[in-house]
Amino acid sequence: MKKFLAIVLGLVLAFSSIASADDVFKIGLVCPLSGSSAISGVIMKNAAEMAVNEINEKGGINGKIKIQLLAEDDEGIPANAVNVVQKLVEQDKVNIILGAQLSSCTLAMMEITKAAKIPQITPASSNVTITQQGNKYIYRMTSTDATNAKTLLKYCQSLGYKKIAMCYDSGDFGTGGFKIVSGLVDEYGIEIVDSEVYNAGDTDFAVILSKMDAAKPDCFFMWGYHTECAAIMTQMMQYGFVYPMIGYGMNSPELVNLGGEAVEGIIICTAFDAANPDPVVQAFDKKYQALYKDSYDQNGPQSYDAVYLMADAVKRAIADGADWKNGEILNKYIASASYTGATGTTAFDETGDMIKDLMLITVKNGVHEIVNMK
Amino acid sequence: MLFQFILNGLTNGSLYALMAVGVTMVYKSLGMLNFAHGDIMMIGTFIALTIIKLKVPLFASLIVAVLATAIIGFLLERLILRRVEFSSFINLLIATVGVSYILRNGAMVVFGTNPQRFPSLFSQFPVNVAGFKVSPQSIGIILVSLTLIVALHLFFTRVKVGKCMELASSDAQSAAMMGINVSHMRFLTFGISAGLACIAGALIAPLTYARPDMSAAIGLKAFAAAILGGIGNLWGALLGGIILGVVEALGAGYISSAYRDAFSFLVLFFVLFVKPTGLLNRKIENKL
Repeated sequence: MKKFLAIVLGLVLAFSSIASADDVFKIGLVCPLSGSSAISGVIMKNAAEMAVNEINEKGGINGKIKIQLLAEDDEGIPANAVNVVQKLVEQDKVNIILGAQLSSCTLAMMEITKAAKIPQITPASSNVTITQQGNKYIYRMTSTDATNAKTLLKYCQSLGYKKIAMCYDSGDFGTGGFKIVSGLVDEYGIEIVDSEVYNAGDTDFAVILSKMDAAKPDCFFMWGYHTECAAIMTQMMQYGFVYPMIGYGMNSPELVNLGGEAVEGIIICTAFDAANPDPVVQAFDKKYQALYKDSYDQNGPQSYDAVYLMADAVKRAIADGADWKNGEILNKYIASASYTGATGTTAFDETGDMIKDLMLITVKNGVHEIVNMK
Repeated sequence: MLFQFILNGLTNGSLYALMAVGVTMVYKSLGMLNFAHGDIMMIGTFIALTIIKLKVPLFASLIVAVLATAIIGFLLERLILRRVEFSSFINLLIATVGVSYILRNGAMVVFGTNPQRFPSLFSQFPVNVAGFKVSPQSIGIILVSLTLIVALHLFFTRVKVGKCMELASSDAQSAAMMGINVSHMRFLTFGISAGLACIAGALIAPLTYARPDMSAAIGLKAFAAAILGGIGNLWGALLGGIILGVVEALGAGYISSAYRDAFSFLVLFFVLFVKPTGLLNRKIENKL
């Protein structure tokens, strides 16, 4: 028995060493594949896979290094995100982490990637504190709450709204957004007359809507995700609360699917939307629709560009003769990246934040339309 | 604003009551809590949604779905619970937890993990009642739940089969001596309980979307409502549900909306502390 085991062990070791002869760049993807935000997580995975397959079909990075995408489901729960990222880092030995989608999950995961000295790019989390923790391994490829808040408040000011009632998600995304908005409203001559918090997964909003209505604002302001937004706007319609709805975080094709006519006229701030006539954007849009026969939100092209940016960093590292398998060295090449893709040109500042212009979109007859600010 | 809160409390309360009745019936008949009850509601909702997507008219789809869910209730009793019955009470409980997981994850695989829209039996636009704007959905939920619970009460007290079920639940040995087939009655109890869950799901889904984790919101509160009102007692389930719903709405409205769920459980703790058998029960229950 012992001899047999020794032979098997020897064979396994021999085969594993043969397998690692061809270098593979491993990307660990952490996103919600189930739960309220499942749709966004699936979009991230689809777009990342699209980019990985495109690069691998051309032979891989530099024509030699294939990319392997390992996707794990965090269910939108921070504790799960920590578990799966530990598995990816320790067991699967990934070179880089792409994730998460929810700010609360990204914040929870960051400590692990920092300790393991592996770069982490989040294509979707917008809470400002993510890049304020002195963590040099975290990068963000989506706009921050601050930039979104400024754009939205400017829009409210341009329409003459003086009083807003805000509802927000109780997680890091919503509370972060609320803090930012409350700090900025004075500059725009706006007052928050009522603020209500709800929990992700909540289904009944009658009470908070009544309270917001009782404060008689000029509009409702929301910082949360599409499932709750669709439910809130549906219930606004059912209870007869007629107010303009302005917000961030709910840009997703599912918003119209779930909300139907209730979400007509909503104003959302976003870094990317398929309504943009830019040719690179349109090319991504057509290919994604053809491959997955489904619509997507901004997390899609952001994840897509993230994969290409990573590949570009590895390529530049190889050109310099540097060891891209070393997390610290790879981190330097990510920090100095400047990549132009479906979401425009991405570069990172010293905290890992990205600088880009934002736009406003609305839903008209079930379709997204770009809104011009006056 | 108070009116809106109370109306909202009554609406949610009616749903909790409907689910609590299902829970309480099973408890009375088998002496156990069915932890899969919330997930049976979810499965019933998805079955209804699947039939609706086949372009069957809404009302007919719901009737078929209720029957299908009742059949699932029957199967649950026959295939799983009967096998576990003669081992300990804890095993029965764990078996239902297992069923709950299977149903939930099965639903995720078959129906997908995303929330889906569910059509409503009632109009989506508010109507004016005595100067207040009221959602027909809310009124509808309250009326349907009340009607069903009253109908159940009449069934258990006036209709022969119902009276047999009631007797088989309260005192299985005497019922058997009178010639009632106790195991058939248990079988029916599960079926009716599951059917009620399906109706509750169909009532709540238009507001909350059909989603595999639906049981999370209502499931636990159904147990709380049943225990609050006195486990095993039909009117207790109704009372418990209403109290829970209204307290929750008022607490969320006047104190804090973030701790909404906490309020109902606080009430439960308080009542159990003062009256451990629940509000409407008189005897000392030693089954739990």
